Amino acid sequence: MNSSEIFDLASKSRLAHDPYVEKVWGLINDKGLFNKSPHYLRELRKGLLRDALKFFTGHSEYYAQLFERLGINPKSAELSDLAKLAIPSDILRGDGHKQFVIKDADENGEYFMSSGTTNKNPVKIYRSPIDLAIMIKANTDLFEYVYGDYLEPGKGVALFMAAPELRYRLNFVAFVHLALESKNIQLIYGMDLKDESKDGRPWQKLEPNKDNILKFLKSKEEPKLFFTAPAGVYLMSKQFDTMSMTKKIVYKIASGAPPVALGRGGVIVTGGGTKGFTDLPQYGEIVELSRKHFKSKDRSGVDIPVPFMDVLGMTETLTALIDKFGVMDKVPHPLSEVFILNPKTYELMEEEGKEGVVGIFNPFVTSWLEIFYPGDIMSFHRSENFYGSEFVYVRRLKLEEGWDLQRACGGTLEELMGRK
Amino acid sequence: MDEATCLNPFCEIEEYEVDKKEQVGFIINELKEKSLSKALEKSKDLQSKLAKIPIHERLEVLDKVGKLWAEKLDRGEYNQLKSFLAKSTGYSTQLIELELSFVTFVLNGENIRKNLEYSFSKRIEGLHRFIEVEDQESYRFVPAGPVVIISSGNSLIPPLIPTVLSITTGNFTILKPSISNYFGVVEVCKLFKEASIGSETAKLMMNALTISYFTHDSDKLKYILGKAPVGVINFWGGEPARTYISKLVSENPNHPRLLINGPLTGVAVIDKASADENTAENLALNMVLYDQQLCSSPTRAIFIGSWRDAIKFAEKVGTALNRIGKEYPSSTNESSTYTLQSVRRALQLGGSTVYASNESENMWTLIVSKGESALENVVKSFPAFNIYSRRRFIEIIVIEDYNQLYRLVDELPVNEAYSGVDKVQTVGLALSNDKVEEVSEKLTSYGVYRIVPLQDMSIRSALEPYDGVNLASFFTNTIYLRKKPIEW
Repeated sequence: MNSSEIFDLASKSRLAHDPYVEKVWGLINDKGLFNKSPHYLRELRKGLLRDALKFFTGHSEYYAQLFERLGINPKSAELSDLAKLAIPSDILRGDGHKQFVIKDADENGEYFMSSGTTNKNPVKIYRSPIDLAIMIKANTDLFEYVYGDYLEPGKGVALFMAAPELRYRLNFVAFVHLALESKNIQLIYGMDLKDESKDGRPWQKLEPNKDNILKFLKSKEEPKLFFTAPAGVYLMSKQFDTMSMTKKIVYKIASGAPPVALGRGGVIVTGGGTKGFTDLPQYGEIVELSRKHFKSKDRSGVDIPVPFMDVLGMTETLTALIDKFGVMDKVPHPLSEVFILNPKTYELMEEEGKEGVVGIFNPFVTSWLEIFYPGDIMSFHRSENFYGSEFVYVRRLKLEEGWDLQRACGGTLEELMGRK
Repeated sequence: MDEATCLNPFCEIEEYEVDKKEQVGFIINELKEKSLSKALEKSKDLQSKLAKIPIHERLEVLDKVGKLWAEKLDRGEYNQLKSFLAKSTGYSTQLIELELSFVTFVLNGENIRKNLEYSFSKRIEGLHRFIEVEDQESYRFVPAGPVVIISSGNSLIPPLIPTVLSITTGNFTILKPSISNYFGVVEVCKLFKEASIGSETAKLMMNALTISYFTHDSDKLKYILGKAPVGVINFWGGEPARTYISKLVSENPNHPRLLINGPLTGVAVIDKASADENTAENLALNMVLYDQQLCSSPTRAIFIGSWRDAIKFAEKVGTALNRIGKEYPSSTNESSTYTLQSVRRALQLGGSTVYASNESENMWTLIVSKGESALENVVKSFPAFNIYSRRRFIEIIVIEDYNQLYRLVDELPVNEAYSGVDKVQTVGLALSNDKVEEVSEKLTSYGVYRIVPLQDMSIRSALEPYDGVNLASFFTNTIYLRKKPIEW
């Protein structure tokens, strides 16, 4: 589906005239949200939580029973109830998401899967056309807020170091693809999907498409938007860094790079985590190295260090958290409630700077109650922005396989405990 | 690395040699094949001498060792060992204290005598001479060893029980404890040395014992299991070690007999009439002791009665767990907390009622489910939440009819949530008196080994067999002597 088809199907959805969905759609289209106060937005999200619980109670017996079991009354629910309602993303692996999707959700949507780099069954999420439409709108607005400018329709070019097939598998690729498509900005994919791997782990099957990369490098369009995993920009910069002078000259003649001129408004957008690269340097070091080989200008044409944005967008969240290196840490969409859970009690933790398990509630998702914790450790600090805070990604939770303490009478030989 | 983290052999082999290895943070000095072979050469003679010593003298040695242990424990001589074992096993110091106090019972001569009497049909004199069982027909119980005992558990008691029975029945015994209980086992066995001052019997028993750690891939372990002239191998543990060991033993040209005491678990059965505070306390205590890692620990409870009564009972158990659990503080880490919290939520989402504590040193969880276990499906999403990792966690399955109880006992070993345990070892009953006999009788058809009161599921009587087998019988061969021809 392209973005126009998505908007078309969304408008015809049987849920489109539900008061809650109408309210959400109205809010998503209100760019003014980014100018509201943190207090206003928090109250708005509290109201949306109550509305969402009512909406899901009315559309699903399962949710009605769940709220009753948890002792949560939709009329008086508080944001602190999110700690009780949040589900671990591991439940969403395989067909786990099915149980949460309401029966009224439109059927002609899309599925997205996690990349499977954690060696487990991937998380698989269904997105109805209406949710996809919300995804495009909300993420584009958030992107532009963090980018600090409006992406003019039909202007510029983007390179995504992914294969086009991943548009229908990975959330991050779909969001970029659809957002740019809705803006009529040309998107070039820098990778090809080669062999079909046996266990369906798409990131292991990618190979660079040199022609497409050259096309992007040589393009005179502005701004140039470069979307990649952190490893992609790092490896490219490292390659430029270690090139012999002769090779550099040959490359320069062929492509105009290095340095890669991203032009006015040019930006590098990273996302998707480490993708299995365990020896990557810290993000700051990647930025420092890359800025030697990628160049950018502001709107008026003055040279500036190339801006870096990083997108934290798990498969199970409709909207991402985005940061801009050196300018702001990660911020969510104004309607998303991002919360931190105490890593011991899994209760809400509101102390600034304390590391905990991040949880996300997206009240604008209409096909399931999207409140989850993906297994990442984050912290937050106060901020002057619309959200009142910014979030810092710390790390993935360390999850052990096997078991570390032996049974009393005997489990197996100790050196074999982890090999079950 | 200090001496405490070095696993040295404990044996009386002259000028023994070792191979040094480093594994999981410990220096391991494994006895070399040459030294093992030297000891095994002398084992026949040693066993023969030991088997001639009147059994009561051997039991006296055990008594002496048990008393020495109790005295030293009282004097605080094992305080350092307590802290070390708490660290290596992961149990609280309070639990280790309890564990060390149990050692005295294992080494109690009277207890061992009782066990032998029930193993040898009250004819334990047969352990040192022929005893006539019918006119001119006699039995003599001789060591079947050398015996090799491989104990993988972290409790001291499981390796001590077979070891004590093995040397008491006159066997030369090679013991491979686990890394976590190694130092505790060696401390106990050192007392045989102390007891041997002035006692030839104690000296012989001491000489009959060799303790060494071997890594699972050790060529010395391969030698012992696959080639050495041994008579009995007793492994305490499960997969993947069980298959590995079985394969090696099957190749041994000396055809040793193999006894595997696989991982087992317990089930508590409670009816409405017995669901009082006392029963709740008993269930809570058995969940806390050894953090449910004993083969007898209740890891599933079956409640016969109404949902309402079950909920009331669960609340009582929760109160008891709050109190008892605090007395035995346990530890958690980031990974286990994530898994536990996620499983609790998954069960709630699935319709179970969940009671839980978030006290970091006492994270107990009670799940109340209707008719069926809800745990299996959840463990599919969280495979790390296996029976080895579940601590202070029990699912109370509520049924209204006694007949449903047997199915829930029967299906446990094939339930994915219990993957890794072979069977239900112990059923702990808290039932009205008129039901105990009927339920016990029916349970005999479902492969369980022990049916005991819920209150002391973890406590073994002296005369109990081990997982359906009398170990002392297994460690001996019965020689039959007939002095007259049979008329036929």
